[in-house]
Amino acid sequence: MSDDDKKFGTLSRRGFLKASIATAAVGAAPTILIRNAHAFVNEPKGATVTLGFNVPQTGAYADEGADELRAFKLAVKHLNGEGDGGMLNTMKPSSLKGNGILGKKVAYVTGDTQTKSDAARASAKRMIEKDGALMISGGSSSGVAIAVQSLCQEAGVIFMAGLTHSNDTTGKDKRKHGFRHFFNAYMSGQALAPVLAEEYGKDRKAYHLTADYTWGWTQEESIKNATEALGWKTVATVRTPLGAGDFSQYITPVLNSGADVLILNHYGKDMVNSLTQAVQFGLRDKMVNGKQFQIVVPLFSRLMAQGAGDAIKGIYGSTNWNWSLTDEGSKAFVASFGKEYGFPPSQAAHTCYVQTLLYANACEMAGTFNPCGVIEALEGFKFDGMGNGPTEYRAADHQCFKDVLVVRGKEKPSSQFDLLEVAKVVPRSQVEYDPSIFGGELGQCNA
Amino acid sequence: MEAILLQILNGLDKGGAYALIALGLSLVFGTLGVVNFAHGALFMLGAFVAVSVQELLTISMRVRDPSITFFEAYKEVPYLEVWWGDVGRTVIEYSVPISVLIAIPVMLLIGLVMERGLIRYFYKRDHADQILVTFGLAIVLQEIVKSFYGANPIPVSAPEAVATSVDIGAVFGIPGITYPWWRLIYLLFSLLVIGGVFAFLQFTTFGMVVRAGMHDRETVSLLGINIQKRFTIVFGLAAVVAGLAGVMYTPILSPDYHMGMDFLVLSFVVVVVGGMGSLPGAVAAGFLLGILQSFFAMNEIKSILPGIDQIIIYLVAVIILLVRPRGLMGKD
Repeated sequence: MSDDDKKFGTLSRRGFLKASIATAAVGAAPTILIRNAHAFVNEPKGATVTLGFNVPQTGAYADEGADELRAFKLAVKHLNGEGDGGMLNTMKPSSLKGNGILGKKVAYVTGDTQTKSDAARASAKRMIEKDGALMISGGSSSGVAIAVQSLCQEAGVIFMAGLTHSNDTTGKDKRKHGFRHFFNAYMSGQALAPVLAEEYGKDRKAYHLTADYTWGWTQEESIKNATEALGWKTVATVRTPLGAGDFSQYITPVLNSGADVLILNHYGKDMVNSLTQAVQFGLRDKMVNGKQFQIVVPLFSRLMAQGAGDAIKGIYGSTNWNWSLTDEGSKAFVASFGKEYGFPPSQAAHTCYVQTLLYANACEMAGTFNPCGVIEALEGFKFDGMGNGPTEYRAADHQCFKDVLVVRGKEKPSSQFDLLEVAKVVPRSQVEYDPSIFGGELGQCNA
Repeated sequence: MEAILLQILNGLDKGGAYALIALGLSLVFGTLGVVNFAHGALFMLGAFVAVSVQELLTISMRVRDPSITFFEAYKEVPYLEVWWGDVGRTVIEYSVPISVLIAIPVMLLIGLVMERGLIRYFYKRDHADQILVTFGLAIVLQEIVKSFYGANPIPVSAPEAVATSVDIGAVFGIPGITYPWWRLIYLLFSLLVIGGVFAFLQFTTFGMVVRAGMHDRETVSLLGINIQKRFTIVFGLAAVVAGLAGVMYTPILSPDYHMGMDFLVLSFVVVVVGGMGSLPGAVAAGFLLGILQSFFAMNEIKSILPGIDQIIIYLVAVIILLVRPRGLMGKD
């Protein structure tokens, strides 16, 4: 190698290093400027603050999504000081004043999740990037909730989950920016199993039919563990494809399996169809092992129960909330919702309404819209008067802990809405667990 | 033994639904040469004829519900019950059989309008265009139904006398095999409708002309017969068959706007396996695939081959098409 070559080589390396540093500095400058100009993503500058409501407006859960949207609109109304105030009057402690959030009027944009993870992420992204949404809420599926929660973490906005019941949402897939008010599959198992043992005895053989996706798997595992701990045996766990429609080929093997309980880890349309068909096959009239055959639906929804008609009568399940509760918070919400829309709200509507108020209240407590401040205010926040008794947003996994309702399909409903009756209010202490059992890391605030 | 008998029965019963839908699909393809992706929507529309009849029969007067005190809620009491008491209740209970009678003219009309209003403009276009337009039509029909009835499934009950199950095993000397009455009725009904369609095509002059047209359309036209008019009626007939299959299926599967799409894909597999345009092929493949689907859902088989129940139909379709590219009864 010649001297010239060496010189050229040395200069080239130095030049390259200098150029790299210069490029990096130039490249970083706008980001630094932006960060300084906007302390966090979508910081509200005007007189309004925009929230993004991402609900299924099309697809199988469109009716549930419509009910969520009704609740969101009602919550916005109440936050802005319109209407009768609903749970703003019963929430304790509350920093809400009915003048918007931190003095800014609340506006909202909506998106359609279509109950598809990709579509839900796309609509959430649009609301954050184009519409300036500061918080995303809603949804009716755990697959969607987990996908949107992770997007919100990356984008640096808060995600207040809607109806999502998989353990993973606040378990292995939990995120610092995600919060869930709804209960989960583990809690359903822990609440339901003792009631089932009490009602049907400890010597039972269960057969599971399970929806083949994240929620179904965690639901099956939770209820299986909880019932086996009380002495039940599990005869078989059978996975069924989502949206199978006709479940008869999965129900006929139950008839001669020796099982005396059928547990349907299904939700939505699958629940309606599998339950109706199981009843048609005469399962509930059968005597097996000298006992009356029973069917259990671990996660109940009043909206879905309407689809199952008479098949729901006498069936046990669990629910996050029911409109027939008579505490002050529930009464205020049902009255407000009923006046506005002419029928009572669903549990999906309730959780979405509560989540919106909790977010607004956290902003007021923190005195800022900065997600890091809001997260800090929500973590460990203890409140009451929202329809579930004393509740806590656990800091370790952002899961709400509260009493769980075990319900039963009403034998003699007095109206088309009066389908479930509360069989037992299971205290919070019975459904609590160590957050480490589901793994996952919250990560850091990303603002 | 009991388990196998049950699965055979279940397969036949499923196969009945597949065969009914596939029969109409095959009929339309065999006569008009159209690949009708809106055929599943006709099945769904049939189901919603039953829903509409049930809603009409249960038009109710609103009575204030005193049990709800938080807001002004109302209970609904059907006028038929108020006016006719037990007779009114019985009429409401038999809404599905009543719907069968109403669905025949309604579905015939829908079929004729669909063919005259849209499908006929696509006879000379290639299959890709036909698929696109009929698929689009299916989506439009779905969304119209959803806007009226919502997205949730709507329960439709069978008459109380046949809403339970029966010990069918006792007939074969093996007591303890219970099976729902309505599913047995559905199987019988599908066999009757299939038999009726074949008899119509085989033993009537109209049917003879249609069969001749399917075989050689040009020659039949040259004989001075307006074969197109007859094929239009055949399209209407296919719509009636799909509609009736839908009406009778409502007590088995609470109908929602999407149910047609769920059946469409399977029915196409049935038609392809049976042989495009072959009516006996469609029926035979319908029952065959129904039974296979049932059998492979048995735990004994699933424990050896997990997930086989979800792919068996497509696996069999692939094998049959490899061995017999024109399907089981397709002609070269």
